[in-house]
Amino acid sequence: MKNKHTALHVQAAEWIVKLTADDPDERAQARAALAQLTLENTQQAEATARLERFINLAERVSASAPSSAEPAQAGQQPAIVANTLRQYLHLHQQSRSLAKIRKPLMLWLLMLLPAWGLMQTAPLAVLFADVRTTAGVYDNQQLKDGSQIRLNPSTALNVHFTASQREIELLAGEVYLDVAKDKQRPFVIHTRQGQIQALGTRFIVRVTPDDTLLTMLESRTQVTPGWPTLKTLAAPQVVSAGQMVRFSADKLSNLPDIHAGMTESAFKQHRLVVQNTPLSEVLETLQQHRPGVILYDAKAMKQILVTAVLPLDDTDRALDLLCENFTSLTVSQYSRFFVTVNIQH
Amino acid sequence: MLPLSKHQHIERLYIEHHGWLLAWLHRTLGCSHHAADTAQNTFIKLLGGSVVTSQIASPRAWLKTTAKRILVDEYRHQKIESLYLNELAYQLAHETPAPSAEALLMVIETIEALSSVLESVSAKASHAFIAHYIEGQSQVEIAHALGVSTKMVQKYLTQILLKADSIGVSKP
Repeated sequence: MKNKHTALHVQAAEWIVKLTADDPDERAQARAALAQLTLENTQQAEATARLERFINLAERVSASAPSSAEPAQAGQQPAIVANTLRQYLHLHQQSRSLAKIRKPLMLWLLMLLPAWGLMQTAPLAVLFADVRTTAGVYDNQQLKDGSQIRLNPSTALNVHFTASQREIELLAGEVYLDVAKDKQRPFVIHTRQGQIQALGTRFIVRVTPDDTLLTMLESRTQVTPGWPTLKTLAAPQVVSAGQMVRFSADKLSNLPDIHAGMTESAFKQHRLVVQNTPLSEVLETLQQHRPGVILYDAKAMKQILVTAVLPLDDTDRALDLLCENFTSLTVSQYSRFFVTVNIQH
Repeated sequence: MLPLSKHQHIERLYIEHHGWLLAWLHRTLGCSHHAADTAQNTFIKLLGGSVVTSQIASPRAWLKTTAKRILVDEYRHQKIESLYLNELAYQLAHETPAPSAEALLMVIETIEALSSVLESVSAKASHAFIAHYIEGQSQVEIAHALGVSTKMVQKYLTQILLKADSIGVSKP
């Protein structure tokens, strides 16, 4: 459907741009030229109006704040729109340039760094993952080797099984794994922050953009932060049942021990058990389990520590429960997809 | 034999390829509901579009491309919605009244239309457009910031207007 622009059409576009030039003479010239064009050529006049409409879109969106009752907001709208656009374009640019690099290097990347190469293309990688759940959806699957895998909502992963390796790339979300014993083929989970190697055991892995959280329920695994072929910045560590660790590519920290049996049954019953956990983290987890957005001030919510058991498959009720326990908290639900959480001082 | 009407063509495409498309989408997305929705939307696009269905040489490739495009649009929508809401929350204190759903949707859809064009031009060109038409910076200021001539800034802006026109974004 690509149509070649006529010279006159290109000229018209140039004049439109010059309507807002800095030089007043240039502006006047452009105005006159466009006026003349409109008089002389009705067909081109229509095409010119079409060109201007794209600018109108930009002007309209920056002039109209969604809640115009607040004059302060109207003033900030251009900045908000501009930031949104820049962030989106940046993301888009990133995923595109990585796709470009990936093609020629695909072969050796796949051989050397299976997890890393694919992981970098997220979030498009999430969209095209082998197995994926969306907000509010749970899934149970049995892998080819007999291992059981339970996916929490908003989870995405790829499965690479060969004769000598069992590999999973966890791109987003949280999974419970009951790994089938196979001494010949180690079971390896790759995340953005490192890898977890198991023989036959049960554990829960959760990834965020910044770190990976491993909760051991039975037996042991070995955690290696960082990527296999790059310099490992933190030493590998063996994690045993009842232990919980959080790691990023260069750091691994031990969290307080947990009760394995209770944690496992809570996971299976879609319950969130937290102990002295910042409210911001709790809200982030609830966010993964429901479609739409929860808006909150993460910095202020970090100060509040929560100890609770919350139903993850009924996030409305979970929010109600939080409200009941923290009287300074108010939850406003504007639609099913738009919830704000505030603290009153 | 009489030539088939447009609707008969689509019906035949549906019968022959809907199952295949659904299976491919299910494999790709890993969610049967999402796959069914996307398959349906792909055929709806056929019904409403200006494509001459009898002239599609390889229907499966065409359906796959169209379905992929729908997924990309969906992805853009989700991304922009969450970025905009985050930005809104970040910039505004909590005492402001919550925007209405319709007003939000309108703004988000407009931003989507803008980004569908801006994502296909260079970073400098898209910066020039955003700075000039949204933030209201002058062309000379932008030229200075980007380290190019004012003429070049005008060239970027012209290029974007023509691009938007050929993609057909600014159709009413």
